[in-house]
Amino acid sequence: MNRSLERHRNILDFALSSLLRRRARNISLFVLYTLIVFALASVVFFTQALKREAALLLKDAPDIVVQKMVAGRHDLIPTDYGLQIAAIRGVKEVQPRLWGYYYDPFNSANYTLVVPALQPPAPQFIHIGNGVARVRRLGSGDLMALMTYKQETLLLEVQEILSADAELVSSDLILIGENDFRTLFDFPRDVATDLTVTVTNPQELTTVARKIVARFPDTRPILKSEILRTYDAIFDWRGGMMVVLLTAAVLSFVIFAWDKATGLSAEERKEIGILKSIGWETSDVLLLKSWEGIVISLSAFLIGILLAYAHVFFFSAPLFEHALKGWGVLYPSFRLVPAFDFYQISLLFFLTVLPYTAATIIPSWRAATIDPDAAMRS
Amino acid sequence: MIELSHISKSFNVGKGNQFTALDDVSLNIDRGKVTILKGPSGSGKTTLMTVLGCMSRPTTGRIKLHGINVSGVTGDAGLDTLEITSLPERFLTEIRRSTFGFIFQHFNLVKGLTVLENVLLPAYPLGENFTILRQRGMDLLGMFNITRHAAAPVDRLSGGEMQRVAIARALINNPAVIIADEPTAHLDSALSREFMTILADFKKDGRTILVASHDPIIYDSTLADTVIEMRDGRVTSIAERG
Repeated sequence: MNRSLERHRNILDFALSSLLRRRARNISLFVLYTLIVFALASVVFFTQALKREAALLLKDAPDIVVQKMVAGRHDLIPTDYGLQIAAIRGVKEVQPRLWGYYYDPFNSANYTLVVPALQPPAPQFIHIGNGVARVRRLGSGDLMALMTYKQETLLLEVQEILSADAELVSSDLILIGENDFRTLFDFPRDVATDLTVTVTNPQELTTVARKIVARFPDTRPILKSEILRTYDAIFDWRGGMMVVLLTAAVLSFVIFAWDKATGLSAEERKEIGILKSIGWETSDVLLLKSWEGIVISLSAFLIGILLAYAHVFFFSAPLFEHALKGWGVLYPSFRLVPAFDFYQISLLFFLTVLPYTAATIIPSWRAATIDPDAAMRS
Repeated sequence: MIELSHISKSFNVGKGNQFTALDDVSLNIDRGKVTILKGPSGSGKTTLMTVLGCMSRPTTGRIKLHGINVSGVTGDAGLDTLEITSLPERFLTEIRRSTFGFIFQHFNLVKGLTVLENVLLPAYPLGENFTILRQRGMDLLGMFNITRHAAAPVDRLSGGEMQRVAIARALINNPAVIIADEPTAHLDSALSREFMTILADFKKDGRTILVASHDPIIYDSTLADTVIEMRDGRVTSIAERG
């Protein structure tokens, strides 16, 4: 083996036995370090995975959603608006959408009711999500009773339980036919919840949106890109909030690590003096100290990352779930698809491993530049 | 082998507390001989040893090494002489670890490390194959009859055993010169005599030995070829024996 490699090997060997000599101190440092990396990496993994999930969901979202506004609030939109919007040049298709929320007082649960544009359930039939089936203890062929706005019971037969794979979107979902939907909510015949607009040329999206507002000043067109941006912002904000919460932990770690790493004890100083006196160069001492720093920080970093990966992608992040998912945006109990953002992880690496290693080396460098005869005089 | 001419060493130069530890010292250390530096505390023995052993630089004067080969450092062509006072730190370290083996008054062993690790320490930065290095370390422990302690933490040893570890460590890079600073200061008479036996073996191997001591067991020993007496940073007498 070449000499330089052997030198590294010998010094690394010595660094390891040096670390073992101060076992309690180094193990506590390692555990704390791992926890911090674990927490930060969990947030990174979680937000990245959610953003990815949201992006996938919105891939098939309509180009533009048009809502009617009354005094700045969302109102039902007349379906004949759709006919006029369809006449705008560049618009390919306009579809009225019917959807809403139903509060189930017996189970204190909110269901999302949607009338699908394609293949809606036949009258008197519904398809329900897993969450609804669980809460109401329903199976295929069972009857589900919903209370209409006219205080009448509407009995619907469960035709299908939606696939568990799509639980993120379908957990609280009830797919229902148009007539049943209108009966349930006493929904007028000539209105819809909103309109979806498909545009022939994506470059013309903003132009079309502008034309819609010009013709119907009481509407608000929402572009797909805006929805994506909102999702991004929500997850970034939630991730950021977690990071802020974790900052306290990070700061205490920094103080702890700084104290442990920089506070060379008299004994360590003496050891450096001995090494110098028996023929070690300043660079040899620095190599030793960097190996000591790297062994702790790199192994804590790698283990922290692995634990965070398992925490988020195998166990669905039980520790951060409530803070990060939030109500009304996503629903509990679904498994995230692993997403690994190299940039974010590198950033984490540079923010944790490098400062620690530097904090270890600088005081040692100061001690290592003492004259080798100092040990002779001690 | 080592030639000192007009060496002075002052500390805290230019400050109010400046003091001169060595004052115009000139002498020669001969190859394969035992040289004893004798004198009371504060006479400049240790400072002279550190200057000789390339641990510190003299304030003025020159040190020349004759007939010593250090890799990467070349002396005056054809003269086989190396003037070391002006060499950069890196070369001084190279000379120090390949030419000199140090035995310190307080042993200066690293606590918590095993006996074997302590012995191998000076060789780690040289990048030698670990298996060969380890074998050499074990051979040295065998030579000083402390092989059984190889894996024991060094702080569990007795004073005499610690010193043997310190001597083994001084020998790990097979130096031509052994420098010992008050080596018997913490040993009883029996152990001090045992140390002298070890010195006799070094002399037999042809090593150059330099010992600073005010212990009569050392400076009255028949092993000593030259006894240099010092006081107040100056050489007061040089006695050649045998």
